[in-house]
Amino acid sequence: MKNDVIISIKNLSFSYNSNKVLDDINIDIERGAYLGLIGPNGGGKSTLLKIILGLLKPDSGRVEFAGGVNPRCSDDCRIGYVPQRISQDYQDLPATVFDIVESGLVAKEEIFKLQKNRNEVINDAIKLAGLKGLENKLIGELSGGQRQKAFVARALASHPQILILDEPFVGVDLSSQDEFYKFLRKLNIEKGLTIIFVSHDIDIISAQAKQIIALNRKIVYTGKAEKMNEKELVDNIYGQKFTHIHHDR
Amino acid sequence: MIADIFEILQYDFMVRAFLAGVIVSLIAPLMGFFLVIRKFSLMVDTLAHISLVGVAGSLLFQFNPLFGAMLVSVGAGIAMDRLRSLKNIFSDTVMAIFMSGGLALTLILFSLGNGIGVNMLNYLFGSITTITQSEILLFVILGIIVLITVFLLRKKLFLISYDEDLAVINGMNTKLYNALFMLLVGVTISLAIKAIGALLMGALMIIPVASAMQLGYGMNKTLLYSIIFSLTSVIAGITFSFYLDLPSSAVIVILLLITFLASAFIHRNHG
Repeated sequence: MKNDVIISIKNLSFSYNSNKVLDDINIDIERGAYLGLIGPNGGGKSTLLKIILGLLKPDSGRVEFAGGVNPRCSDDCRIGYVPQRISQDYQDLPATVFDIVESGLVAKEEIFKLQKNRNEVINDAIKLAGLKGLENKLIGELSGGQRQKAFVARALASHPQILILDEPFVGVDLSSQDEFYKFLRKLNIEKGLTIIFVSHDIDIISAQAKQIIALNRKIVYTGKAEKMNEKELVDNIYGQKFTHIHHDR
Repeated sequence: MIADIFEILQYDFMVRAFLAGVIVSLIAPLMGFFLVIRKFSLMVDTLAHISLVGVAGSLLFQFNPLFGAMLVSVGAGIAMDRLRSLKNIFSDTVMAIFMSGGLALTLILFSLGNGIGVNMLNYLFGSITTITQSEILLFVILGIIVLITVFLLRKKLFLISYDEDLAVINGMNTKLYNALFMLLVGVTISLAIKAIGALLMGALMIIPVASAMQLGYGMNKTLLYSIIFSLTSVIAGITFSFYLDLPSSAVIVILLLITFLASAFIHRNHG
């Protein structure tokens, strides 16, 4: 594994029953990447994320992280995760912003030995996400964009090297999306965080990501985001011909 | 009402009723909170009905029904949770299968045991005033164990309940914690079944939580208000039922419902 590679996916395949959704995937993700993962529904994006996160086991192949095979909780390769459907699923959760961010720490803590300065760590993550002053607000009272930031703050509390976001903008308005992407870019540039996000929206991916991986069971494209404006490539990713109508944001 | 309570406390059976009521009202909403977060509220009713198998079996074979209820509800809880996690069968389908299977088994045991009918009614609708001296000791010991365990693990249980994936990603042994959680739920149900009855169990575990959630607080305050609502309803319910000569479990449930309506009203007008 090269020094600048943080995740290396090798010969990875996965099937749901007899339906193959990932077929011989090989990807090297560099440290500090700002990577968009795109593809049609059922193309294997979320499945690939779940395998990287250790939630699913591949049929064959493997995922290697910097420092060895699958050291998910090592200091060198901590992964922060922001799930899908935050706007819908956590509307009525009886949890404040502080509760949510704190829950990013509790899994690794021993019961009788809490992390030192844990309140400071939580408040720093809240501040970094621009949510200072909202610590005691219920998660359901926040706007869609603020809610996403609270879940990013939850991930940041455990000082990750990699941040993975699964369809972060389902149900979030456009102005919140723009502000949130600025925040993600800042984390990528200033904190050196490797960021991987999944989206089915070509406009978002091509405008925001530096690199793209297009997935439709197999890797269809890896490279610079600008190429996503090429009609032939989009047709290739989705497996059929499209008329691309671009909306100015 | 305080003077009334002191008057009632002259009776030993009422002292035991209050003690059991306090313990159950402390632990029932605690476990109910995590079930509500898991969107698994109906599991309370399912487990309460299944625990009747243990009650009927122990009445038939003449050992303590609390142990029978505990054994069956813990085992069924763990089995249901494992089936739920397989994700190839809907949670409500799992509950329907277990509930109907449990009631069928209870009916068979009930028909095999001549004369267990009166005792069974105590467990169907609750009979807090018939709790014995030996049972109260079990209530105190198990109640304290559940209370301390949940207090120490509440933040981990909260994470597993609202985002099990993150718990797995961060290296938590979720199978172990889920099994422990189901053990605690099973113990709580087996204690509460004599106090409130299998048919009204859901009210004591879920309604105080639903009421507290109307107030719009975070995890710790929601837990605290759930316990306050449950505790006041149980103490007032036992007191009123003594003076009005009504079934205590029914009065407790009515008071819990009034609390829910009041908190929903506050939420609507000030939320």
